[in-house]
Amino acid sequence: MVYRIAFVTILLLFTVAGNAFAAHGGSCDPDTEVDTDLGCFKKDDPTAFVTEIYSKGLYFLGGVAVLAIVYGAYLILSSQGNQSQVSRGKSYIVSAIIGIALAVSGFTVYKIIATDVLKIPGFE
Amino acid sequence: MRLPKLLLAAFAVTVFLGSPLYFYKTDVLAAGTGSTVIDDTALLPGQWVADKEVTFTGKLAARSRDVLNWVIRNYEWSEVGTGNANPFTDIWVRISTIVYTLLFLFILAAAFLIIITRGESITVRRFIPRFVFVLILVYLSFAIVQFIFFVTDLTQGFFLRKVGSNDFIQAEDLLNISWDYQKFKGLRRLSEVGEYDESAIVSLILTKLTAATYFAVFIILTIRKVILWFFLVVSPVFPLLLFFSPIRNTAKIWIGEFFRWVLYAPLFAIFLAGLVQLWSKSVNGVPLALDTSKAGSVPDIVYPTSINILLAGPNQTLSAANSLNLPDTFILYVVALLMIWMVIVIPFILLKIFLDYLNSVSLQDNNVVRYLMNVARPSHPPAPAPPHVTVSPKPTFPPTPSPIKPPGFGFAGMARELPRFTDKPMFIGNYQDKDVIVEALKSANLSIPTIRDISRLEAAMLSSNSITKEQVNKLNESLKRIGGTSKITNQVEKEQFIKIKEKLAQESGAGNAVASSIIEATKMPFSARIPAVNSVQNVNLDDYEEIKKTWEENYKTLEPPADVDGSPRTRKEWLQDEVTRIPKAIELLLSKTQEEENQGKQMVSSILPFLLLGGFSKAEVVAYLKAKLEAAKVELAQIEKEEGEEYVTIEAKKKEEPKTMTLEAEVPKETEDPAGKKESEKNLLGEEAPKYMPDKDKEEPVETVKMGDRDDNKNNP
Repeated sequence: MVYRIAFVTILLLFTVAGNAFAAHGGSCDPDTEVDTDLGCFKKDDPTAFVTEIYSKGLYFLGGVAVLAIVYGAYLILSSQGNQSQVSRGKSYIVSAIIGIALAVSGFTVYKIIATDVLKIPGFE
Repeated sequence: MRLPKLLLAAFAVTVFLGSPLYFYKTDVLAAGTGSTVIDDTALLPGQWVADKEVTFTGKLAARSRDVLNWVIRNYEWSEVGTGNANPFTDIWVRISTIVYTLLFLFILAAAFLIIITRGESITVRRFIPRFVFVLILVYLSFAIVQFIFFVTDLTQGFFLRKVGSNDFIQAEDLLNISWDYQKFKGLRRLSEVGEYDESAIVSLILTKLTAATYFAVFIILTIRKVILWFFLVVSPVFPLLLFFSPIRNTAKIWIGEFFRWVLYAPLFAIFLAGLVQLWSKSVNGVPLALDTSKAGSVPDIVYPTSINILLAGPNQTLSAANSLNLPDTFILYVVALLMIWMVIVIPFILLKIFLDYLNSVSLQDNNVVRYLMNVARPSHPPAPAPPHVTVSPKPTFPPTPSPIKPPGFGFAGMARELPRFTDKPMFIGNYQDKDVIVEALKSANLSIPTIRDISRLEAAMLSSNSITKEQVNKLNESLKRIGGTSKITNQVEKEQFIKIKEKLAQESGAGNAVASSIIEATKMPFSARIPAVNSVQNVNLDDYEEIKKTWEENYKTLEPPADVDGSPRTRKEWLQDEVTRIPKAIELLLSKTQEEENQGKQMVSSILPFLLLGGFSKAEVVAYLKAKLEAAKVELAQIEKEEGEEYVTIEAKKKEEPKTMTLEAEVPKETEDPAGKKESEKNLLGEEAPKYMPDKDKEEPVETVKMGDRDDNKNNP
């Protein structure tokens, strides 16, 4: 568990660093936006802020999921018939797919519930 | 609890120390319970002067009465209505919007956790219901919290109204302060040698304390209202805190504080109503042995009336001659004041105890919660069984995991890895999850061995290490205990093993292969049945290779066991015996007659319980023996090869003696011929010599002339 957390932390740092060095598509509007390492975020609009964070989080999550799938595939390919290793590899792949599906579908479903069902202000 | 105390202490000190003193003359006013007031100020001789401090205290007391009356009459948490007129709605909507957006990120966090922990810490099935539940809670948080407030208001309203009346409890029902704030002017009796000063000061203190008490009630109940407003506004955040376990404790603390303040007012109202009832029913107002019969009697006055604020306890007739003038009336007033203080403090104490209990309760350990969760959670379906593989002479099973080496064993020889059965064979049907199986194996300190474990067990039995042998004996003993063939002196243990056996029998009857294998392992060799098919675990072809290698090493390094008669054997003898015995065992096991099969079982009786425990089929047992046989043959050939090389070495040593050469020439001898025929022959010089015709019937002796030595024995054995 400790190694997993360390791995994820390093991955996060690289992601943030990568974003920090990535060129923004133009500078932020100082009146309405705040310039951060993760990009421009709109001021005074929590919905837009969280949506931006979510999209960046999806990007990061996608990276982690790909790595998990690759690792799972590696475990399966190198298992040499070792059933426990095969099932470990499978669990990595399945969990990655489930995680991505949850993140993507959750966003969609949540949007539907928030705007159409509950009509929460700010979610139009 | 600390906040009100501090406030009151600060207030009391300020009031007590800060009031100035000045003198002027004015009318006497009275204070005390609202029972009876007699204006008998003529009984107060002496000079009365206006006093700033008394005025200040009187006005303060009047103010405190006003605020107490107000806070009791306006006990509701807010005076605004529901709907759009409610000022809390807007701020709640803004906060809940932020919470909804944060819930987005929770989806992301959960997805991330699922990927990283492979579904171990959280799964979609657990996440989605929780998420939906939190969403509903956030949406309904305003309504739920407001409803709780209404319920508490209802309770308060019921108890804060007087019995049989629609009027609220007021200061007049407690320690009444009956003068008007604007009209009051304080007077103090002048003393020549300070004979009235003490009484004046005590009266002032008590008046100030009464005022402080009323202010305390007002402050606490008002603070409660403000806190409830803020709790209402941040109510959408509570469900978020409940979502994930790391921040659940924070939620517990928040919710605890919320309920403490919510429940304070109803409890206060209950105690206040009880106090008023008590004072109205008791003779003295308090159920204490106080003699107030002499109250109002001028000759019996002990403490003189020194200010124009008259004080008296519950159910007293207030007058100039009855203003805490007796010890008992003074005590009565003080007790009454303390009782009001207890009405303020006790709800805090009770709620603190309740909250401490709540904090100490762990939801996970709570039986009720666990029961509810078990009822709510669908039963855990068994994992799908891997496809059953039929046993063939050369099976192609998937490999089993390599066993985990146990720590802490000091082995000798090759018995290094006495299996603690920590490795998990690949079960067919996931039977190891069954509680009864786990319990049975755990209590007997057993687990299902793999085929590799069998070889290690057998090696351990042959090892000279007493520790490993002891371990194997314990395992055997455990099996016997389950089977009931071993004597158990401890009754509790005996019953435990009986129960285990019964449960295993039950499970076996239900078709549990592991249970069946355990039961077979506990039987005697002749009665045990080796299954035709292994329904417990899969065995890999690689395992047999591993077994062969293991036994090659064992045969190389283990000390050869003694013969049947106890005589020591050489390694070669041992191996030769193995090479003879194992095929015989195989033949007997594969025999179709029961008797021969029993004999075969007897030959492998040392490892038979473990073979049965592992559920190995006959073919797998035979394959194991064959692997062992191969190993024995390899080692035997190796030994024989080594011996052959030794023999050649010895023979080579014998040839090395000093070598000599000899030459032999055959020279025929002259012999006399009685027949007279002489044959001349050539002599060595070639001269013709008279031929000699030897007699053919006679063997002619040949004289050999040796010229040196020569050993021809080698070529002429």
